[in-house]
Amino acid sequence: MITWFFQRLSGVALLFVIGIHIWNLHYANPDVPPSYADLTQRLKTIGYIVLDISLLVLALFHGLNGVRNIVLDFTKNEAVISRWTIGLYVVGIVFSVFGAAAIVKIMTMG
Amino acid sequence: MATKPKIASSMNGRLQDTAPKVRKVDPLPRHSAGIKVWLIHRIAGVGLLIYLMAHIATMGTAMFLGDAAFEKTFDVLFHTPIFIFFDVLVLAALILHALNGARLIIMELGFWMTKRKHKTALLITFGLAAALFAWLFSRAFL
Repeated sequence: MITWFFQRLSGVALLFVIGIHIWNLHYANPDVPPSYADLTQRLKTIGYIVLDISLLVLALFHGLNGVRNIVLDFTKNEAVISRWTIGLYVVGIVFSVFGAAAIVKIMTMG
Repeated sequence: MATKPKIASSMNGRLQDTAPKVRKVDPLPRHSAGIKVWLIHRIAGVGLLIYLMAHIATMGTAMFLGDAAFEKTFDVLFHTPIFIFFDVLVLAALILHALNGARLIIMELGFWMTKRKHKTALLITFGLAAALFAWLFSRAFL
């Protein structure tokens, strides 16, 4: 039940967060590809740090929980469900740590 | 508190089908508009997850490798036809999944719950999706 609720909550949050992300980075100036200088400049502002990290965590949760919902549509076997849950947790944590490490690396470059 | 429905499983290791209070859950009928929209939502969702993970892996790696590798990554991504095609697909899937998800949440809150309003809601959702896609597509890809 709580995951059901967080799926909705992260969905609503993602409407805004992804909206801002793709507008600012890809559609506001479609002819200018994001450059490394822009990136380091962006990740010096608190707004973009918060935006990128919430994007990472919310989108991964929403997507991987979506996969779990697909599993729930196919089986009621609790052993199978818990194996999938553990596997999806591992994938989510690995990708979150990798993405966050990349953000922190750019943030702390000086 | 004997009247409280027990949702936890009691049938050796299997989840109970539904809460006992729920008499009947209407599934979406075959060949209905609803089941087709459900399928679009699910396919778009899986596609977006695949894109998301590839996006995190690519951008994270490019950020770790530094200036030259980062610029080269975008040079390739922005000038290879197959990646530009994928960008269009991602845009379409994102708009459909986002607007349909918003419709689902609005309906779960209890609005638009008559049959005629279902149809109107679908028309509004997909009309809006088409307009948004046309605008962003013409802005970035033409």
